Amino acid sequence: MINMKANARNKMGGKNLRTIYPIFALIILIIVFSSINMRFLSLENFYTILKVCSVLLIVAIGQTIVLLMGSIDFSVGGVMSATIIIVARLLDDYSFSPLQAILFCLFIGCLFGFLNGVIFTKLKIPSFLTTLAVGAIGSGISLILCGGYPITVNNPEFLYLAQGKIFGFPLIFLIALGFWLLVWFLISFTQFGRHVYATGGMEKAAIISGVKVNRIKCLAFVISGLCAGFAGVLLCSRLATGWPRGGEPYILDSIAAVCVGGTSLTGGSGGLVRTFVGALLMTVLTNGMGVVGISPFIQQVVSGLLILITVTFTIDRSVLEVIK
Amino acid sequence: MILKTRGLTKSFSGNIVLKGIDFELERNEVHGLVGENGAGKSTFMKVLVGIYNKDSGEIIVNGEKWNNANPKLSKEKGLSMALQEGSLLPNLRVYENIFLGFEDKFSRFGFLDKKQMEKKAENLLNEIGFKVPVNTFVRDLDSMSRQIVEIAKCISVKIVSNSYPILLFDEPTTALDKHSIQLLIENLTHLKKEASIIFTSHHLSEVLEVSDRVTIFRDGESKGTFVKGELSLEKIFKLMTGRSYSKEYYKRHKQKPYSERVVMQVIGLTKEGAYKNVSFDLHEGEVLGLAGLIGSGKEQLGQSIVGLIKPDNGRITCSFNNATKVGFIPPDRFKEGLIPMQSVRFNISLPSLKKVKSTILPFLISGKKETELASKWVEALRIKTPSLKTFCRYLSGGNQQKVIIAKWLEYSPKILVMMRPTEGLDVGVKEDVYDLIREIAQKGISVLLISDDLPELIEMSHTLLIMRDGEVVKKLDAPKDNKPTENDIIKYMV
Repeated sequence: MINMKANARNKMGGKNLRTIYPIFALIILIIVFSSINMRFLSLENFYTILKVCSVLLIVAIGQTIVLLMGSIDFSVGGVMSATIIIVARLLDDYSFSPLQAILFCLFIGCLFGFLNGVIFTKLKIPSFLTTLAVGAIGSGISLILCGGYPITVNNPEFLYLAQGKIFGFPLIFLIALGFWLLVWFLISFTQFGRHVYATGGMEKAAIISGVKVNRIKCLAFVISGLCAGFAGVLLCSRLATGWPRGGEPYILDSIAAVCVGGTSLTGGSGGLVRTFVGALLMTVLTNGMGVVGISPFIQQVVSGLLILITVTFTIDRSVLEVIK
Repeated sequence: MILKTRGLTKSFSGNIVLKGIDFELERNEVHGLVGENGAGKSTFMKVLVGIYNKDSGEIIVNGEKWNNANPKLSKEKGLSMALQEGSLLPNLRVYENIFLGFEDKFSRFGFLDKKQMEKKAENLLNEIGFKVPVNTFVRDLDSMSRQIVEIAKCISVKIVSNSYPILLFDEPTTALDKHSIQLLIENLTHLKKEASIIFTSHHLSEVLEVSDRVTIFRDGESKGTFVKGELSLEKIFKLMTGRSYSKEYYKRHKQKPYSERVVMQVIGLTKEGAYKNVSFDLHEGEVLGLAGLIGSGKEQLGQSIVGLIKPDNGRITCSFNNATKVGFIPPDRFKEGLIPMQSVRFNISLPSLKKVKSTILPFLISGKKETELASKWVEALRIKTPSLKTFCRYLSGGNQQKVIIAKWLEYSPKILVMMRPTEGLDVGVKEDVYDLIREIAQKGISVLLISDDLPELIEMSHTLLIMRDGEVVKKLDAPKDNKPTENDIIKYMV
């Protein structure tokens, strides 16, 4: 008789190892940094890490969905750049209330995502090209709207988002955490989530099983656009400035956070828990190197190396039959 | 003795697939290898040829210990394999594929002598009795031709290596029609004059006909090697499965008459280059078999009914309106039938997620309901899997097929289109599948059965449509007490 333990560990595939390695790396980094400089473990630094991690986490959430679905989103930087400027101008020049401004930017983010989705599914242009182009458009809009100059933001309610505290805990992180929980529920327990995994796992089989793959693809890009839009807004709040092309670094950082966390680049495997670890790992690394006093130039090299090392251990080569 | 293994063991992530195999192969021998899906036949061959590394045990070729380093070295040593799933590159031509990896044998001052390659490729194909244009790209070939080219590629070891050829054919006949199978079997007898051959097949009668000796695998163990005369179909079946051969293999007695209610009408369906003016009615609970050679259009017709191919002309009307649920069991189970890197329960529940929603929060999926659903099917269909969370990619072909069938049974479509549902499955699983088809029909689900296995089509169907060159040329009734013979069908097919 077959032992039907639904929760039996998946012995075949080493799936559990892939989840462990990034956590390992995280713990090692924390130990190394704190042993070099005790300031790393201070409460203040801890909160800084959480604050910095929040923006990255939100973009990475959207990127995760797109990667799981089997594509990639290079437009997140451009979309962030657009909304960071748009929210600043709405608050500054047009006297929108913070709520109105944020909602509008979320809508803009969705619009960009929808654009990605439509071009990808209807014109059948590969996602990396589509999103690169749309990202460039977003970046361009950002520059047009600010004329190339940063815009200072003074609205205290708006600034409270990124700089306020709830019982001493940074509000921005709580917001990011709440958002993460929401999307995690969506991807893990709903039909939509299943369909995302199915589309990324084996598209043809998904179609045959009744999954409306074009719709799923569009929705995935819309979610990513929404996340990027939201991240841009929060970044503006953190910097208290509409920073032109401020989203640029987040293109590669979001992809790195997702992959370092262990989600497969080929789609169909991984998830938001891994992305959480990945985002935290990336933030701890940059912060730690700063605390310890490593020059920002060297930091770049170290970041790149870390990505290579973690991805070496976490990438599932059994799915990637050929490494291109 | 040209090849011997002692205690050959291989496991994947804790799952022991080969449990200490002792095996012997003589010179100029055709050696059949039979066993259920998951018994270890393909793995055994892949270990011999170096696609997989062995965990322990010895391989001795021509008296010397052989360390099965990689497939190219093995081929130089004479060990060559034709894979079940094929190892051809679609974007290369036939002759380039046949000599893939050994181009240096045809290079003169760094340039490839293509004319030589083409000529030698043609010779090889002729030797096995088939004509395939050697300049065609493999992606433009049909599945039967691809299988022939894969076999030719395996045999090319005669040309590219100086060692005595040991040919390993893994299911060489799955994509071939009856006539071609005969041809191949005849040529095996010629081939063995200068080679030794191990081949696996689910067609037990083929194996018995052409092999000098037969080895039976079950659950990773060798159950013995027998000389041709010692074996009967019943004995093989018993050793393979541990069960007794049931005369009622196709469960003919379970064929119940179908209802008069028409579930689907196909009227004048036409698709350029595939089929023309196809019309038929499908009734509730009817098993409609589609017979035809490759090129008859039966496969494209099946795909059109499911909606994967849009016909140019004609109508399909379903009596239950356009929301009639249609299920599809595709021929390529790994790429189209399921999501390999997802679990058994994920795959079984995928089309039926609406049924496993949580009662408290209706937009969420209930893990408990899903587990119940998946367990029910795993038990009912005897699916061999370590757990519900195992990725389908790690199951054997037969169990993958069972997962696919479970998925559709749960979904309960009104119409189920099956293309070659028992291909590559061993006799034990096939029997289970036939049983299931009978049950499905009795439940009132209509089945469109598209298959190359004529006995299967005849036995399982209520009605048969024979297609030739894109048109339906004959409709035959196949009631359980008056089944047409194979000849009755073949004469319309050709």
